[in-house]
Amino acid sequence: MDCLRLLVRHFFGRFFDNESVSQNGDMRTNVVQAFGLVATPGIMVPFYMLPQRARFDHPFAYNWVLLSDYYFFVMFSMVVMGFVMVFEWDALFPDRKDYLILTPLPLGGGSIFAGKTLALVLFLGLFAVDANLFCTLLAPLVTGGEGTPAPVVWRLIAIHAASVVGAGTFVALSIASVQGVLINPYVALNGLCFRRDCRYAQGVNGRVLGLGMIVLAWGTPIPAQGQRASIDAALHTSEKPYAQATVEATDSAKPGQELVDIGVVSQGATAVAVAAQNVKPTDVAAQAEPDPTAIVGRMAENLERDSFARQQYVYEMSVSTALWTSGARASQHESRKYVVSGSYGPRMRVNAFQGECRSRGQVYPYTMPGFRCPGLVDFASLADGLCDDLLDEGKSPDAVPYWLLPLRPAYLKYFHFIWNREAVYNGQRVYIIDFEPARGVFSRLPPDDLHRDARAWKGTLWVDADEAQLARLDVIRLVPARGLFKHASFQIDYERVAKDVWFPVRYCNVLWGGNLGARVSFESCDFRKVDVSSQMEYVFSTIQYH
Amino acid sequence: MLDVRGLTKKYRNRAVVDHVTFTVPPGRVTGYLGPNGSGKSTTVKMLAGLLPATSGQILWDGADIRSDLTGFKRRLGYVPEEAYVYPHLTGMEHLELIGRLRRLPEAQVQRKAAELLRLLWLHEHRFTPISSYSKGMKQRVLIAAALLHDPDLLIFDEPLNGLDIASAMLLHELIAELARHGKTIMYISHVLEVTEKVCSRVIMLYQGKVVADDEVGRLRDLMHLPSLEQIFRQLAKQEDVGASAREIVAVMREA
Repeated sequence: MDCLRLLVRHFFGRFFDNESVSQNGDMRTNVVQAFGLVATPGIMVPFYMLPQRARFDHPFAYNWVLLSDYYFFVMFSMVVMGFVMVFEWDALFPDRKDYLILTPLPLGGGSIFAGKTLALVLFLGLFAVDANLFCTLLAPLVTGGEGTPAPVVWRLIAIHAASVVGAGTFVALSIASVQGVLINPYVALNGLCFRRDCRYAQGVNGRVLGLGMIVLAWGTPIPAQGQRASIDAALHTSEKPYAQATVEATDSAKPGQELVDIGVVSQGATAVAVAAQNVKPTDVAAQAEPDPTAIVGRMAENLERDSFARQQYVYEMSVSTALWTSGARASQHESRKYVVSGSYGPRMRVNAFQGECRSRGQVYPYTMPGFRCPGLVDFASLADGLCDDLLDEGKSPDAVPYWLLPLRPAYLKYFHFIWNREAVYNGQRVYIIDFEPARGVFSRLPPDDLHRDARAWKGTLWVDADEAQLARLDVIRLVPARGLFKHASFQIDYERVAKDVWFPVRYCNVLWGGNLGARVSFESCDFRKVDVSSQMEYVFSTIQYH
Repeated sequence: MLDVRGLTKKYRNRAVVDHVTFTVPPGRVTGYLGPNGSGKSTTVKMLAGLLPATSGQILWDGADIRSDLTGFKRRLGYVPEEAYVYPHLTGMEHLELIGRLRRLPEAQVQRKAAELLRLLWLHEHRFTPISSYSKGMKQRVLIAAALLHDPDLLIFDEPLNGLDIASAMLLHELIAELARHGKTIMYISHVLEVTEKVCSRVIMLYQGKVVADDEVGRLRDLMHLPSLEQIFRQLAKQEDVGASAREIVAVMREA
């Protein structure tokens, strides 16, 4: 065995011989116990994520909701590696014992340091693998869910591994650098001061990591939410389920047309959000840009005008509502099926209802609305309210509430529309138009003005070029709203049912604030036009007067 | 032969070893004496390659050790003053580690390590972690580690630390036997009676400078003093220790 390997093995063994880890010499047991402890969250948390993920309509739907969960893994890796470094503080560099025992031996100048470095890398690597292996394998599987293509899962696993290992390495190197920085000036001046101040530095590092653990337990959603908003604002991109996007892009590709703009966007440090755009430039791209405001104006008029046409249809709607606290400490979800007829009067009929509450490790299934889940706000009234908003014709003529959809004719003046490009979407030619609040909209309104909420949106419109109908809408709130949920974003996909009759077929609205998140989504199908014919018969009987 | 010429070590411009020159011939035990803080251990650390010298030369068989420090260390056996050992290793594992790092053949390491531990009365404890060893046992492990590779130059820095009488006697006999086998031996101690018995020649160091370098008998004759202790007292300008002792007791008894 060559000397370097021998030194690596020796120094690796010394990490288990550390007075910080064990005072009574039973160090191997303690470190092995630590290995077991560190591995547990990586196994448990992905399973804990399952109830939330199961509510998603399709793989990677609204990936950014996952950010808080993924922040946990990144943060956990950082905290674990940090604690390992703090506990092994004395063993990070060759110590006096190594100096006195190994220096008189005929070893090359750099071999002791190289051996120590490699052993440290090996030791940290073991902890990194231990802390992150299971979550790296399990979390992407849970996130993707059924139907996720294998290459995507592998890529996610690779991204997850790179993120957590990178985060852990960053913290480990940071702590090593603190000691490295202390060594040089202090040893030159006074070794005693170095040893004393090293203890302070070790203590400070430990406290910082302790703070990290608190953030890990309670605070992970906070940066996640903030980051999401900033990422969206910065990228100004739309999200689309990966699988759906891929299928659509493939379907709409025509021979001879180059497929472009299909990409995967990884979001932020967690790098888990996968979004793909399914649009392609067309031959008319070089033409003069149409006026986006005029297009949206026509679209908004059609949206309102065709409300009556939509009322002539009966269709099925599956509504899914969910509410959860961060870290999946409690969650509740309900699914309802309606038969919707657009005519006035009692027009909704609940066909099926299913609900489930998970709280404090307990699962409570229920089959009637109104169940109160322990540990959550009054979800029953919240879910009913959200569903009512969706289906009340007065509030939401096309199943999208007025208060949510800002693009009504009366509101258009509050927005600024920007031409993006022309593309093909779902086999139809569409105009893609971005919009944001018009300049000065917020400054003119006091913070408590009710109209302020309706104007605080930014997003992208897909407008059908032939019928000037809304084909898709992606929107996010720019400023926090009043109430429980400060932030919101939603996406609506429309589908053409008949000429000038477009229905929202997929809708997902995600709201979050504090440590609470909610999702309302629906899918509509089986659109049938109602052919009403009535026959009135009057039977005149002989009236006999006496 | 070890030849030290003008060896100097300075800390912040203060010379703790000041132009020390001496020769350690093979086949003899050379004592290196001096009071605390005289620079003995600093000299030894420079000889063992633990510290770089500020100036001067250390020659081994006529060649500067810096030209082939690794080769020099291969021929050096060093028993340090402090019994630094890895407590998680057993006595046997420690010797195996040292032997392997010295690139000795594995069979030789196993055989020699087991034999040395047996001869140094550690056979029963060879598989016990060193953390449970006494100070004397640790010292014996260090002696075994220094002998494992059959070095030509042996430096014993205060080797009697923690050794019981039997072990100390064994060590003295061992050192004499090694000298008879032509090894170059340097023995550092401040226990003058022992040094007088073990060493045929002594080098006395005081405030970083060599104040005497001769045969023990010749020193006695030259200075007309009966023992090494009295020679040491004379050369090292020791204060009247009897008076100092009386003063200490007086301070102790002060109200």
